[in-house]
Amino acid sequence: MKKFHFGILAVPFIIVVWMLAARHYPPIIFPGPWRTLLELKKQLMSPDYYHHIGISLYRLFFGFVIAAVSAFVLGLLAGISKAFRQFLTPMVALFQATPPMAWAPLLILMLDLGNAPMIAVIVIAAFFPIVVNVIQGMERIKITHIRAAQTLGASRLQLAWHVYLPEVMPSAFTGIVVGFGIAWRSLVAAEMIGGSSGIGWLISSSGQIGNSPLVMVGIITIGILAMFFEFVLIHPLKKRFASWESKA
Amino acid sequence: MPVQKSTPLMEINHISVAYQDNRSILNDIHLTINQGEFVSIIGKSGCGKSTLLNVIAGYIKPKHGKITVQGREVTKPGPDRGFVFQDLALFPWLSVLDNVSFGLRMAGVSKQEILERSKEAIRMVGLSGSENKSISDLSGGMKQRVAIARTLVTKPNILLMDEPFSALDEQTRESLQEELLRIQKETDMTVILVTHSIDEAIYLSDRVAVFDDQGGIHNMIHIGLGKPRIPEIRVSSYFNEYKKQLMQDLRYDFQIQYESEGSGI
Ligand SMILES: Nc1ncnc2c1ncn2[C@@H]1O[C@H](COP(=O)(O)OP(=O)(O)O)[C@@H](O)[C@H]1O
Ligand SMILES: [Mg+2]
Repeated sequence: MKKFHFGILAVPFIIVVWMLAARHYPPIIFPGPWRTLLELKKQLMSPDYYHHIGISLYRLFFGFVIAAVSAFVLGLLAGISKAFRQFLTPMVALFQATPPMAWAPLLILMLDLGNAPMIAVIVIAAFFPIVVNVIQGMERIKITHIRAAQTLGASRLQLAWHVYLPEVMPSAFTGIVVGFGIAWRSLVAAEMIGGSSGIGWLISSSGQIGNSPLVMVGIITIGILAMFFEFVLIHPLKKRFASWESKA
Repeated sequence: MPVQKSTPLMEINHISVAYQDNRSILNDIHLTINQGEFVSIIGKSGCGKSTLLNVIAGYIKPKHGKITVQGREVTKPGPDRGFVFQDLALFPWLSVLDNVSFGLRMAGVSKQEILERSKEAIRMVGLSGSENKSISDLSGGMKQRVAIARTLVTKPNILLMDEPFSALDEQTRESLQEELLRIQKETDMTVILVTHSIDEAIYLSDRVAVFDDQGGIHNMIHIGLGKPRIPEIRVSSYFNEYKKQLMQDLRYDFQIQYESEGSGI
């Protein structure tokens, strides 16, 4: 017989606690699982629901790609040039110490409502964890790997592409996972305070008009999407580009 | 004495090296090495053997002196001087084939030629059939063979090896020594080998350079055991004469190290 895995108790446990908690409030304030499920069913037929999810994903995608690509490039450069690393490190430390959300009001003023400030929040949220980890990965590269590649005729560019890049991948993925989590959370929060669309806005606007079941649907959607990204996107990529490290 | 080709290939010209702290590591090393020669370097840990190989490879710039290969000064690393590292430095994110083909891919050789020459190098070290394995699935001896194949694929004229066999068991080590001699003969490469093993140095080399503690060459010994070597020579009295002399050159404190060799650096 297989050993019992206590993880399968998680969902029933949450539902029971949720039901018990919901009993203390009128359903219009805090709906139970059943009410929420009915609302979810309704939303799954509503084009609006998909529209808001689509907008959030669009912002997430653009913001994250911009952040990841620029963090990789700057991280690699910082790994190669000590001077650039010294220049970059205090700035990274400074920005990393501030919550990305804190920039949202300013960004909304500067960039107007709409996609631009949201994408900017994501870039700020995701860039720093990735760049820090890429720099750390660069510092851990074996000198003999670099020398071997040089002796085998690699130019500077080839060295960056064929040694630095694959070798920093495991560290970079640590940053990507962290950065992605922060980016997704920050996006939802930014949409809540200054958006007119997106999953965060769906939650905050539903709260304002007293549609609590839709708030719960929004929260669940956020969780499910985050898990979807983790397992469908990040894990397979990590396996493809960074799994060699655990075996080496 | 076998007939030795004596075209000077490499001139190590009064090389001195000091790292940042200015302590002198290599002290006026002067050595001429001929095409096709096999030269071993032995000496105590920390006496500067790896440093000399690194200078020849172009990884480190000497403080004084210069190294020329066929009259041209060494200024940077390049595929004409292959290097087999003590830690092998295989790329763990690449398969055996992709490790071996690395140098050809850097040179922009055609796909067809990359595949042919890589497979040829893999065959040369006896690893045919393991092309698609990942590095982490290989034994120590197989990893060593991949490292050698990766270096051979660009057809280096000079092969620099830094204690390549020190982590292997005795049997694997001896079979790799045989293969190294065979490959050297097939390719007419010049080999410079750093080793801790007196037996290895004698068996493989035309000449053995013994380093002193001050980063200089204490003694240079010609090994006249005939080529190609036959394994039985290892237990001959000629062999033991060389061994005795090298042990004396390295003095007593090295012998202790030599007994416990295999424990790495
Ligand atoms: N990068 C470095 N910086 C400073 N000192 C070094 C460096 N590399 C080696 N050394 C020193 O130089 C000496 C010779 O080192 P090495 O050439 O590796 O010796 P060997 O290979 O003979 O054991 C040692 O004392 C070592 O501590
Ligand atoms: Mg050494």
